[in-house]
Amino acid sequence: LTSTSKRNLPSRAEALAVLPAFAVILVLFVGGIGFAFAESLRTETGLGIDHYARLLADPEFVASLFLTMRVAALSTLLAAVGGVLLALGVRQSALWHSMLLQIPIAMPHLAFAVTMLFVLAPSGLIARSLRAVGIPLEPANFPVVVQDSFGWGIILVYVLKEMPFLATLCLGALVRLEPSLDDAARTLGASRWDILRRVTLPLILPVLAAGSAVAFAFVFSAFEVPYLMGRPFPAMLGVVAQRRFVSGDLADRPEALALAVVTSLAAALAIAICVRVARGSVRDV
Amino acid sequence: MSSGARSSPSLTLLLGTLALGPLLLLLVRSLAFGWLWPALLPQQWSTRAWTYVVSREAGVSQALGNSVVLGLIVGACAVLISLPAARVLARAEGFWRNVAFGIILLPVLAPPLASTLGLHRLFVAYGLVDTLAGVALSHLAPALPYAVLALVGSFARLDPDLEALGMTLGADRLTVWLRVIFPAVAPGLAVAFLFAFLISWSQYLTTLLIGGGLVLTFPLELVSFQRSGDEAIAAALCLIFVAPAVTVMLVVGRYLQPSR
Repeated sequence: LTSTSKRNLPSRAEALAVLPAFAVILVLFVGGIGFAFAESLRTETGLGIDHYARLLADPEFVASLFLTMRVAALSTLLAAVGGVLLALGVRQSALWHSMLLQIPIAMPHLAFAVTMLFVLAPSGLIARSLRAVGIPLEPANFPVVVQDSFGWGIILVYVLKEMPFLATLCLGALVRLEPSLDDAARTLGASRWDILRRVTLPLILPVLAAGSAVAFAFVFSAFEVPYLMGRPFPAMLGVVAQRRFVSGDLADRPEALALAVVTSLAAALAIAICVRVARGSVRDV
Repeated sequence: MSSGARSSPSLTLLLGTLALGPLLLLLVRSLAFGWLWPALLPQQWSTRAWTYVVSREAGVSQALGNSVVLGLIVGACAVLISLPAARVLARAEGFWRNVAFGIILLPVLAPPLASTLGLHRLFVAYGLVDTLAGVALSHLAPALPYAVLALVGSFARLDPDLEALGMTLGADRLTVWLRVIFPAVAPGLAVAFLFAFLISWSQYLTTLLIGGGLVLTFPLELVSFQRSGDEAIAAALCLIFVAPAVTVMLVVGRYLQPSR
């Protein structure tokens, strides 16, 4: 009766059932990327990589590529470390702790950025708090973390936003860890550090790597947060791509498409690397 | 609930600040009047921002209406499309299962920037740019994976034999769907709808690009008020913006917790 025999190909009815979903993804998502790629290769004379070559020679692109890589790498790294620590902390505490963790995940990035502007601005909550405890501070000499050239404001928003997300992923892996495994290791004389390094971390590494890849890819082509927290120059790639796409000059459009394709390639690369890391760690265990 | 569980006060403080701090700050900021530097707390309170936000001249209601309509359309479409797919995917195995999930999850893995810019070029040809329908279509791809995932979980718990049993008892296909399948997956259906609604609700760049600034949604309104510098109004709008997501997460969150 059941149709779940070990087959590698779907039946006609099964294929028909998933067809609408596939159509949506393949036309509206893959098709969009394909179209962007095709258009980015179209030049005055035919096909070519002129627009990509022009990007590489463009100082604005190079500056925003470095900024984007820095922000994406730093915020993913810090969020991963923070996420693991948070997961280890929440793991043994009450259930409502992990419920609290869901609220920042649910908050849209845009809302989080708007809130953090109130906190980090030169006359924001942090500056006011420092002043209240007696530090003689004026908005003019408050360290610039919003619309700064390094991108600290953007990084801070993403670290705080992705940390609970990665922690939740790690928690999902940790519940599969038998508490007895911990106890067994301890009775065998393993120190807390040994347990963390040999038992806990290998267990969460695959899911952490996957989650970090998604977070990295997401930050790499982000728009809202760098639009609000960043400065116009250098801006992150997503902001530059949007700006060039909507600029009145139609000649800018293929370059905007090329920029967007570059962000997709970076995302694909990040995911490929993390899949390798995840596979490797599984083999090591 | 917390039997045998330790909860360190510092961890509670950290999580509480991360989760409730932003909401509290937005509420205080929306109700503060003036709040000049360097006062740590507002000296005066006012409902000015909230009165303005709900007033007609703010033009917020139109953006709110667009966002709700878009969310409902995207939610309904995502559920309809993911329902048959999730039923099959929950029981698929092997290579075909991996490929199918790989395709469906693509919009979660890869960012929407390139696809949206390409979609804009594609939509120009069909007159879908600057329209509500075009924006709804652009929200559908990012929303669909979450709807499918929510429903796959429900179908995985539904015994396929139950459907077969209904058939052998003489029920036709429609009756089996109405009497057996729908009641069994109803919670998953609701979660799938809510997730798709929320993804559409929080879209910014897709709306901006495909809608061309002509389809005004709530997040677009929020950013324009934020940029105009009225912090109290921006805070009030931001609070409305996060309300559906936080509410859904608190209601649904229990189902999503890893079982312990």
